[in-house]
Amino acid sequence: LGQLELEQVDDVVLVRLHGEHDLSTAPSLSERLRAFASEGYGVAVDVGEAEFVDLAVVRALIHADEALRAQGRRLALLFGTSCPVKRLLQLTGTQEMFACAEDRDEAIALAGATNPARSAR
Amino acid sequence: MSESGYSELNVTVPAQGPYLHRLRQLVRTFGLDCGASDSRVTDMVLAVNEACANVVQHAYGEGGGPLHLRGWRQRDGLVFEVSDNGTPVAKPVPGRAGGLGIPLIRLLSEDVDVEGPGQYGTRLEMTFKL
Repeated sequence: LGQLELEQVDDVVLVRLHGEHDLSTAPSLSERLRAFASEGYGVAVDVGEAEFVDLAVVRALIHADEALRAQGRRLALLFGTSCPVKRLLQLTGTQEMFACAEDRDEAIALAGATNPARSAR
Repeated sequence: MSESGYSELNVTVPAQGPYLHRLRQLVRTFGLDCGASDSRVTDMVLAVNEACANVVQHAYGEGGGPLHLRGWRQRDGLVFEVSDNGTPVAKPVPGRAGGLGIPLIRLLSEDVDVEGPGQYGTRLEMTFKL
């Protein structure tokens, strides 16, 4: 089923989704992403390798983004070239909710950026 | 879990998240066997998954219950029916992406018919042209 691959770059965690992610795996994904947010990390999620993602996962990403916004950050989303997740976000009009990146470096930069007005640093 | 072959899909599983993966596999195989294109099958899998996820989330309380999935050919298309024996509790998922499941199914399929929730549960039927 679904696996997560984690990579840390400075204060950003890049989470790569592999395989299939759905309602049954979304709660643990949501918990991990929000834990990173509360520990002060920026979070980038690469969905380009995911074979299947459903709306429960989109909700988990939205909730993680809300947790990150509370820390003055945004969740960065990275798509693949022919990515089924991108289509799901477009169909549901949720793509605009996320900071979307073109490549890995941009995703890490977006996830690492903090809003100076709200950042505690 | 029981399934019949090529012409009809008919399975009943517990309405629990871990069964969604197996249901997606069955829809994919059935769609491809019926001659649907890869992209059409992707739509079917996504739509049926959301209908089944709704049942898992909303149909039953603690005790759980069955989720029924049927699929059959109809003229130039395929029909999938997802049903449950649950009680009428319509509680939308809170948050900004709550309540997107049915609109998504409408976008992916040509026709959607919902009966219930009522005394005999809920039945959602979606039709995909081939």
